[in-house]
Amino acid sequence: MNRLAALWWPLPPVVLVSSAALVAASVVLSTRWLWDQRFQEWVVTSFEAHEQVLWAAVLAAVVSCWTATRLTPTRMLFGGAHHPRTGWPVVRRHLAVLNGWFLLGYVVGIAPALVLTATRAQYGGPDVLAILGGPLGIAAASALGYLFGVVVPVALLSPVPGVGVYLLYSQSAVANGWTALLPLVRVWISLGRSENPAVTGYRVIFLLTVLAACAVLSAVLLRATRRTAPRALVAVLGCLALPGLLAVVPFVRTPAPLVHDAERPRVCAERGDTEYCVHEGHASELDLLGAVGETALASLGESVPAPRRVWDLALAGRGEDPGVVWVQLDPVLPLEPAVASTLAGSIAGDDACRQRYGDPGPEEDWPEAVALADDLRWRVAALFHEEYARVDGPFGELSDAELVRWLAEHQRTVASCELGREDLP
Amino acid sequence: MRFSDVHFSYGRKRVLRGVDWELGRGISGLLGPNGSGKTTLISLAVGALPGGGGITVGDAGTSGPNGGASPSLGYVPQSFSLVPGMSVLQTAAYAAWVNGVQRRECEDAARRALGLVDLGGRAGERVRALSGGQRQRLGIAAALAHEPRVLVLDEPTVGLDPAQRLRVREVIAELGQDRTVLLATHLVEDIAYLCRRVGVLVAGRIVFDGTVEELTGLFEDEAPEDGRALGSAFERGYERLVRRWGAGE
Repeated sequence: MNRLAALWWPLPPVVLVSSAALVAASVVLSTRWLWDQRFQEWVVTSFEAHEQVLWAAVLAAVVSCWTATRLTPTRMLFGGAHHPRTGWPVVRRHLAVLNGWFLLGYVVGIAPALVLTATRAQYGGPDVLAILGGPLGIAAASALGYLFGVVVPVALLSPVPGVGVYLLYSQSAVANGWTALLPLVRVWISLGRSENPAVTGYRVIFLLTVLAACAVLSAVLLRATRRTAPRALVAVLGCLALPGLLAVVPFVRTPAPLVHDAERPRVCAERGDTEYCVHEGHASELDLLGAVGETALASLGESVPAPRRVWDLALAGRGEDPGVVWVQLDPVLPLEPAVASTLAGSIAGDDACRQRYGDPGPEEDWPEAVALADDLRWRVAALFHEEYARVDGPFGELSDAELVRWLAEHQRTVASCELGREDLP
Repeated sequence: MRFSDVHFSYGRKRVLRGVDWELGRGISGLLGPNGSGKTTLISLAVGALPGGGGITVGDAGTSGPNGGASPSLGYVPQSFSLVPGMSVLQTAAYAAWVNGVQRRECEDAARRALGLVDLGGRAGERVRALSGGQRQRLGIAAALAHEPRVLVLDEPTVGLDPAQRLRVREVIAELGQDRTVLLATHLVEDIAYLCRRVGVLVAGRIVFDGTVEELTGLFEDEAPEDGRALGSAFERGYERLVRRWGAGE
C-alpha cells in the first residue's frame, strides 16, 4: 500500500473526495457573502466560521453513518468482536479518515473568508475558540452519525442521523441554552461586540466531549458480546454521563452569547462643527462617513444645527453620551443611505422625541416628526442615489429650497419634538 | 492447540461440560450434531465469547492482548457478509488489518493469502462478481492474511453446490499440509475427506478423539439397527456414537 492510499484507506476515496467537495461547497456558499464586503471584521468572520456548518454537519453525519453500517456490523467478514482491532482501533481509524477529509473540505471552504479577513481586517484577530466550534461541530455530528450506524447497521437508514443533526443544530433558534452547546447560535454580531469566551470555550469542551463519548461508545458496542453486555451497558451510561451533564448546565444558567468589548479604539476627524469617529476596525470608512455627513447636512441648510458628534455604532456601549448620533456601518449595504437615515432622524428630532415619549417608544406618538424624518431620509439619500428620489407624504410637494426654508422656520419645534399637525405644509 | 477442561453455560443451561482435546499439525475435524456446543467451543477458542481460559495455542492463550482472538488464530465464521463494492484485494487487506497486520503490509499479506486460496487472479474484481465458493475462499484468505498458526473453520462448505464444495475442500486440504486447521462441521463426508484426526462433541463433551479410521472401526462389529444401509462406514460409526452418547443425556 503506497503512502497516498493511507490518506483514505480503508474507505473508498470517491466517497471521501466527494464528501470533502460537498463540505467545501456548502461552506463556500454559506460564507460567500463575506467576500463582497467593503471591509472585513474578524468578529464576523470568526462567528460565521462556526455558524455556517449546518449542511456540512448533516453530510458528515450521513456519510459517517453509512461507513459504520458498511464496515462494522458483526455479520461482516471483518466485523466480528473477535478481531484484535475491532473496537477502538477500528473506530479511531474510521473517524480519523472521515474527519480528516471533512476538515479538509471545511478548511477549503472557509479559507477564502479567512484569507480575505486576514488581509483586509483593520482591527483584532481571529477568535480561535469561536472558529473551533465549526470543525468540532462537524466532527461531533460525524461521531453521532457513526454511533447511529454502529447501533442500527442498516445502510438505508443513513439519512436518519443527518435529519437528527439538522433538527438538533437548529435548536439554538428555539432556546438560548443551546448556544453554549451547538455551533449554530443565530444571533447578530458586529464590531464592538465579541462572542462570550466562556460560551465559546464551553461549546468547544462540549463538542469535544460528544465526539469522544460517541467514539468510545462505538468502540465499546463493537467489542461487546452477549456475555459482556452488562459491562457494556455500564460503559454506555458512563460515556453518556459527562456530555449529558454538560448539556444541562447552560439551561440552568443561560450565559449571554455576546459581550461588549471593553476596549473600543476609535479614529476621528473634524468636519465643520461635527466630529466623525469610527471604530479602528472601520478606519477605512472614516473619510466616506465624513464626506457623506457633510454633504447631507449642507443639503438641509445652515439653519439646521449640525450634530456635535457622528459616531460609528461599533463604538456604542452602555451609558454613552446621548448627544451622539450613532451611524451603523454595514460592510455590505452602501454607507450613504445609512448616514442619510440616521442624520435625518436626528435632525427631525428623534432624540428629543425619544426623551419625551420614552425609548423605545411607539413612533405613532409623534407622527409629524416621523413624517419629517421619513421625508428627510429619502431626500438626503437621493443626494447620493437617484433611485431614492420620491414625491409623497406631507413634505412631498416641497422643493428642496422650500424644505430648507421650512426647516429654518420650525427649527425650535422640531428640535423639541413639539411639531404639530398645524405645522405641516 | 489444546482444550483443557473447558466449561461454558448460557445462564443455567450448560453447553460445554469439561472439554479436553488436543490438536496437532494438520486438519482436525470437530463433529457434532446441531446443539452439541461446536459453535460455542469455537467462539471461546477465537475470543468471540469470554471464558476461553482453558484454551491454548502452544504456550499462549487464545485471547489477544487487547481482547478478541490472538493473532495466532485465524477464524472463518459459519456465515458472513461482504461489501459488494469492495474489491477482493481490499476485502482481504482490510481483514488482515483488523486481524493485526500493520497497514503498510496489508496489501502484500492479502495478495499472499489470495494466492493460497487460488484467488490471486481475481484480486482486482469486485466481491459482487464472486460465486458462493469463491466468497468462501475469500473468507478463508481473509482469515489467513495475518499468517495465523491455527486456522479455525466453522462449517466452511455449507450451502455450496457440489463443484464449489470440492474446490473449497481442495483448498482446505492444501492449507492443512503445513498448519493446524480446526474444521467444525456437521457434514460427515467433509471430515472423512479432509481430516487426519476427529473429535466428536456430543452434549458438551468430547466423546471420541481419534483418527477417522478408528471412528470408522468403532462399531464395525455391530449390525445396523434397522437393517438399512446408512452410508459410509464412517458416517455409520459417527451416527451410532452420537446416538449412544446423546441417549445417555
